[in-house]
Amino acid sequence: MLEIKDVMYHYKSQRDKVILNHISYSFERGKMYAVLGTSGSGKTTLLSLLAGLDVPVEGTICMNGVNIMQKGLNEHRKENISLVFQNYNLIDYLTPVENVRLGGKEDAMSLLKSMGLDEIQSRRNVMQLSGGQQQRVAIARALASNAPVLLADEPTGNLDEDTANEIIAIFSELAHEKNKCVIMVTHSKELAQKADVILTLKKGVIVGTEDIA
Amino acid sequence: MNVFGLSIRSVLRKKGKTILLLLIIFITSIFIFAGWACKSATIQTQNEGKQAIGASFRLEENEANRHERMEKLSKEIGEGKSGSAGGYHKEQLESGEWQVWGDNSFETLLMEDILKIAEVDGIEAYNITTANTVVNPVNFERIEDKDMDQSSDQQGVSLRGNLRMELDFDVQKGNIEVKEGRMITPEDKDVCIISREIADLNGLQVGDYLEFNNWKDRESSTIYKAEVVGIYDSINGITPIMYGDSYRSENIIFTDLSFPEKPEGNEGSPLYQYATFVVGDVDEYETVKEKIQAVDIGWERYDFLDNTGMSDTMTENFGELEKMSLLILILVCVSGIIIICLVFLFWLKGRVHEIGIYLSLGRTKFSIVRQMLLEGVLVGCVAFLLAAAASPMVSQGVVGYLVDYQTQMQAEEEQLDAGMVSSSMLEDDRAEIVGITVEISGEVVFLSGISVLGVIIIAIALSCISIMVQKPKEILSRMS
Repeated sequence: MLEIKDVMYHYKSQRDKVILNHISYSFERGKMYAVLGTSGSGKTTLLSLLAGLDVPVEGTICMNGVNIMQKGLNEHRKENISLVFQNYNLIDYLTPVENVRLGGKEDAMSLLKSMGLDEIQSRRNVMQLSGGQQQRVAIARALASNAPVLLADEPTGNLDEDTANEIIAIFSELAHEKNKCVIMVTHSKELAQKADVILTLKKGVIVGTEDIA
Repeated sequence: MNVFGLSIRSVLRKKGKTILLLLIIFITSIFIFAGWACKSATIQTQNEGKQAIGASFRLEENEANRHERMEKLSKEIGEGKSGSAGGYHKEQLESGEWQVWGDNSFETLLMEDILKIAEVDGIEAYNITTANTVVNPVNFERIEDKDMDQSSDQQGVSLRGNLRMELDFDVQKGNIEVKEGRMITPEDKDVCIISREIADLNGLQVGDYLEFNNWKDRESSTIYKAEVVGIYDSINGITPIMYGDSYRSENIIFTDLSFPEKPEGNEGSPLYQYATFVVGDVDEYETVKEKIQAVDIGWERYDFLDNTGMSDTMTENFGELEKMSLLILILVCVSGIIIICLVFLFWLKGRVHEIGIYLSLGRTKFSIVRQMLLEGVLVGCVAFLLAAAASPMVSQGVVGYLVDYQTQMQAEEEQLDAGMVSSSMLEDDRAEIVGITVEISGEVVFLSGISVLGVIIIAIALSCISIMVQKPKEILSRMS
């Protein structure tokens, strides 16, 4: 469904330092992927390219066989991609309900309820929620768009172990029950084990693909 | 959620930033209001000024021509000879020095010339004013400063004849006001109007008669009577034309046009110093001026002071005021743009996080800039309304300051020009520059609104360039 073909990327100012070195891979719906790698291995850059936040220097990224550049990166992000960040990235002057409404037209209150937030929590200022609750709001916002691909950059980095496990469980559920393609960047090998497929990146190259299932 | 909803929430929930922006736009708006109000006040003043001057012309003797005529007549009489010709007199004194003088017939404006101008189409009224003529007060006392040395004074009072006293420049200027009795009209003969001080000193009333004769021959010259038809009060006083109590403001007695020459001993030979011609329709001023200049009289004998010349002085000064208003507007707008732009740049730096989120949600950069603009416009609307409420007071203050400044500049220029131009005429102008009103008209509100909107849009658009040129990933990486 979401395919990277011979993608190469380097910063304009540092042409000799290749971040992604001609990698190819095809991501499928209904699966949860974990991208593992050390700092500087190119995980976040890969996520940015998949999200259409940046463009590769060489190679193409296709969604359902169509180059995302053809449709436009904004459209690609709007229709196909939901993003969840490590630091939640919620709009601080909006309530959880309003933040979720930014994501799309789905019923915000129902989504928040399904994420375990009650009505009072859903209507207070988003900054008054705990880290776990804020991440749930961020996931609810990602789900509101009903996009087929959910990209998560270190989504549990700021959470305690129990909450992190809960969030991973939600991702797994989204992949298996909602038939979404969940791609999660993480440092944690333990959390990565809960994914269906583990991709290991090293110096811009996919050095390993492990199918857990 | 649409852009409007987001803008409203951002403005209402980020109170600190909103109040800061509100304050900046409020101050900018106030000065923009003041600038536009000042411009409109300037124009109003010019028009009022022209009306106040009355769109009139003034005829007086040309000094250079007077000297030429004197030289010519002197040659006519002959070098080294005493004699008279054409009202010019030359006499060698015992000391060997020469005494020359012109009598009334030499010095006066010619009545036939005045009448020719008065007949020009478009002249509504005219007045003739005699020179201040010192005469001896026979049956009353003048006002004196007892402590002053009066030895070089003529010990008299001044008579000033007018055809229509209402057009006398001291009356027009508001220096005196006839509060009791009436003013002098062309039909009057042997009448006078005295100052309140002389009336009080001598117990005089309207209907009494005053007697005058020649101050050079107080004992035997013919005494002439004039009936008191009015008493005037000094408002600002009349500027004396010469030193001595004979010319002091309270001792100036207004008479009918032909009276001053009688006690002076020159009956039938008047000394007309000024003639004033009033244009009926101000808009026809230039046309009437051209017609007057086409009248066949000996123009070399006269100075023809058109009040456009004086209006031009005013226009020039108030044109400066208009330029200053424009300068204020430009300065306020430019500084407003810079300040709001900087505030927004600073603000945007703190909103990178928010912008990054919007971009990750698939919003376009244009949509984000539109939200910023809308936020600025929303705050601007409130600031503008507040500024509109406060602007009359501030605008009045700013305009007052600028007018004072201009008036001061004008006064300084006049000081520099002292002795080069007729000061009394310039004083007339200056007196009319008081009482400027500043009205915040619909036009001012509209122009101010457009200006403030322009400033906000330009400032925000400029500050948002930084968003437009950055890649979403760059913004997102700044987030992290």
